[in-house]
Amino acid sequence: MVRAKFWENIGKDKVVKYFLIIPVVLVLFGVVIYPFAYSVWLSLHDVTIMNYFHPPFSGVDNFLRIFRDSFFWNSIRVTFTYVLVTTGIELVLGFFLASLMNRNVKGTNIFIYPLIVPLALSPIVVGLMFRMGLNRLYGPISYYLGLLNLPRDLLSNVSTALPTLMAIDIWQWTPFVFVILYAGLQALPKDPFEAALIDGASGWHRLLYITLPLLKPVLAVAIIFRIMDSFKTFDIVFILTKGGPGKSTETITIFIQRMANIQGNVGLGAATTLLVLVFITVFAQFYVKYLSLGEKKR
Amino acid sequence: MLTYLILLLASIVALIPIIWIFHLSIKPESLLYVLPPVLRFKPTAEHYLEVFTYYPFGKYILNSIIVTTISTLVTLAVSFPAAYSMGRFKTGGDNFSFWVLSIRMLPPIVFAVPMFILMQSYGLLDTWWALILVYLTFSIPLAVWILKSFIEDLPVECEEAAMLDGCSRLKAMVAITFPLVAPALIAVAILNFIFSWNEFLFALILTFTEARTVQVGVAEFVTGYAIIWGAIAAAGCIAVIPTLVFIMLARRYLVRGLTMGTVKEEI
Amino acid sequence: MLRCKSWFSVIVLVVGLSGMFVAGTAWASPAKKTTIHVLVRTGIEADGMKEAADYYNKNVGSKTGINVVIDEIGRHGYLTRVVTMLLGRSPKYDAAFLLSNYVGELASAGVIESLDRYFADKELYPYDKEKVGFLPVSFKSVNYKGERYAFPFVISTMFLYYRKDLIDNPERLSTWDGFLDLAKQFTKSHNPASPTEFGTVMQGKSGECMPKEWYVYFWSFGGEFFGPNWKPQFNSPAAVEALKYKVDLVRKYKVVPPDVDTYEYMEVLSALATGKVPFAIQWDAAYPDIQKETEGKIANIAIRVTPHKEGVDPAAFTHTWTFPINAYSKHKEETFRFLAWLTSDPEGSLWVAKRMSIPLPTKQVFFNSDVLAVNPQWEFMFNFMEQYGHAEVAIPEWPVIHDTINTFFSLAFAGEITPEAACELVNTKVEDIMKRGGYYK
Repeated sequence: MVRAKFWENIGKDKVVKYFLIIPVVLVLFGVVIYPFAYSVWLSLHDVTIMNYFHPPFSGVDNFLRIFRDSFFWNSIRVTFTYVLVTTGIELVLGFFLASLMNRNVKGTNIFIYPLIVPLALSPIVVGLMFRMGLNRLYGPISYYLGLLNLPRDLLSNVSTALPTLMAIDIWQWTPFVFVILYAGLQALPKDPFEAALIDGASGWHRLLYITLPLLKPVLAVAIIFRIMDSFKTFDIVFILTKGGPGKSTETITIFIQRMANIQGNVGLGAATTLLVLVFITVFAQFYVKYLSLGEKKR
Repeated sequence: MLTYLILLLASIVALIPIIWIFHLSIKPESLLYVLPPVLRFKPTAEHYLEVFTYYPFGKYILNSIIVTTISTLVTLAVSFPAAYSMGRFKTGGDNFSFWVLSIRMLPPIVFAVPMFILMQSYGLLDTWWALILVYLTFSIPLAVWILKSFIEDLPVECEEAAMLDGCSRLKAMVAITFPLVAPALIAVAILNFIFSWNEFLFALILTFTEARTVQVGVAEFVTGYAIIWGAIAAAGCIAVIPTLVFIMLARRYLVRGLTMGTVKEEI
Repeated sequence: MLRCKSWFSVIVLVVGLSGMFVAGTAWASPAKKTTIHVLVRTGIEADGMKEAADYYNKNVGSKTGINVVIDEIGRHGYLTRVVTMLLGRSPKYDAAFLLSNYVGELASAGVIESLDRYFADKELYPYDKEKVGFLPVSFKSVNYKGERYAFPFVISTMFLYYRKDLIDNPERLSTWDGFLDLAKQFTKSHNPASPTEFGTVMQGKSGECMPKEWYVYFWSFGGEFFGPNWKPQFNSPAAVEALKYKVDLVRKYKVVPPDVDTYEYMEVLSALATGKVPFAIQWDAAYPDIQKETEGKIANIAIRVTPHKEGVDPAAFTHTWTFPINAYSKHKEETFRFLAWLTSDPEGSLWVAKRMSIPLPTKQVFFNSDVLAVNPQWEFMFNFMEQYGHAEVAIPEWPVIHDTINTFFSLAFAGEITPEAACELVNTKVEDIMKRGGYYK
């Protein structure tokens, strides 16, 4: 009789499984679908604040205007540079620190705690404090840079503004990568390494052919998280430079904000977001396929 | 050894900004803008006092706590069943799963005005629920993704053993799978907490004075008179405490949950 | 049966008593008050408004049945939040403190109320317009298609502030040539004996303030935004000269700190108040704060008209912070009454001026002897604005034009394009914007 109940329950699964996802679908639909659909509608109309409620239909006009806007391409370039450089450096630094920690040198375990601290700060606090610190007239960071004969006006020079923002990002997010990679390293099986040592493989060899391939799933997690989040960077850039000097730090999010809020052209803002979304989706599709291919091989 | 020194150096670099902010928050107003920076002085609590007297900062802290806690709990309550369904039965297939995750990739900035209008029409402006709902849209996708992967790695036998004994699917899900997934749940809770607590854009747009959160409170010290740097430093320190405590205490779970069973050992 | 009856009577008694209680309170309490909500930006205006609202509620509100609540939100992203709130058609705030630049746009969208018919109503606006005497330039800034869409509340302009102890012949600061000479004299890199590191500062931060500061230079070099038939003149010799001069201050002569592109109102105020520069162009609103900060520390800081090119008049930048009424407000008349009291009532309008030194753009306020006693600089300010006042153009396209100017001029300040190229690009883009707006038939 219990057996029968088992099969009865398995049969019910077909219905239950849909019930289980209803709450998620409801919430996401209720809160995301409307703004999303509205954004699509906005992107197809010439919507400015002036004609906000009765905008004329414009079809692909907004998209064409964006394509022809050199500032859009500039923001793509800025965003890409930002995302790729910060993620890349965070991976290298995070891995480096994680390997050091993994050596289990006596007394180094305690360093895990200070190394996590940067993750706790919010963008607004980080942004405002660096704004104060880098101010030439009363900021200590600027002052000490001057003492070391380094350039003092980091946020005001086209050549140093973006690197400064990237440095702040790296400072804040390397701990994240570090923590994940450290866990990954700690959990690696010992056997392949012992075998390699017996075979006389060099440190580099071990690194490239054993450590990294084994770490792939963990690396994938770190990479996808960082890329997704750094793409959306907005608050820090807004507080520190608002996209300046010139337009050298205008990321795609700042560009969208400028179109939508400052110029009041919400249609262009929506069109840009959709373009970005299309791109992210395509990229992510490739990436996820790559991830699951890797997983299936295991 | 060299390893020790490098890690020590890295720790110092990690800590300097936060130590500096704390240092500013206890420095007397008259010394704040002096260069070269004065390092020895009598600490003062004037900035912390200012934080609470200039604005009802206690209310902001309460708002943040409520919004963050409720959105975390609701996220877990809603995502776990969905993740279970998607993990065990592949409900909706890859497409649904991808659609859910892609929501987190959207830059929030463009949704500011439509979200405002939406909340306006629901009558939720300047209330906790406006923020809770918005934060749900960012945390649910992540939670579902993490939990789904975790569940996929759990052998099916766990529940089926219980079901053989007469349990229904739902009962098995709650009694057996739920405890097993605990590390991932905690990881999701931590991530969601940090994200909601630190979120700024929507908190700025969707609230005015009633449901204002801690982060917007910090920014409000950029007043029409002056940027009250002392108060910002103090408010920043206050804002950091919960996240810091949370991360420190639950660090292990964060990693376990995130690495989704690809890492089986405990640290 | 007895039990039924006693229960019944208890119920009747309770209901009866409650009914009497409700009727009694309704009859005994005064007429229900309407509460209106006004949104203001944190700072001097919010503090002034709160005091004014307090006074109003206690003394005037009882007669009009209006209760005023002031809410304040911070400076960060203020304008975006207010515009979003109005566009969202939220009835939450009946009026909001807004810069005149945005009035045209919002009026065109239909989210703020046209006020002409309220002004014409003697019952709603029982004040003598002549006696009140709104400055014409302030009303012009809230004008859209011939109708008024907001109450002018605070008028601002920019002065040239200077340290009396360092500048002994301020007359030299009246021309741009003199301004540059003195700036070099007080910059250590030009003159090692200078007491200050830099000669002056400016508001270079990309966004609201940088273009506005440039307009002062532009007008005083003889420029005008538009020629006949709305032809933009951003590439005129005056424009190029003004931009080149300003960019050179930063890049060629380096008489300002190299990080001025992160400076706005606050940083300039701080530089003046701490005596780090001998002179600078700054908003009038900073005057009371600077006086307070420098009392007893350095010699008081004085003000004068902003510099001008030889042979051209100086220019007084004016813009107005206003109170438009939300078109979706549920209490428009009550809101109008309060705002009318605030700006035009002989008693009310003096309140914010006297207590918080907020310059209401009416003759009634500016020429009041009590007000002048507290704010002697206002006489100078009024004359300056009346004689040489310039304002931005009150068309809905203005915010886009402003952003265009901001974009290309930032590139010039960053050294990525020349001032000439920047002016040319701005002019082309503005012509495009005007064409799209249908200004060229």
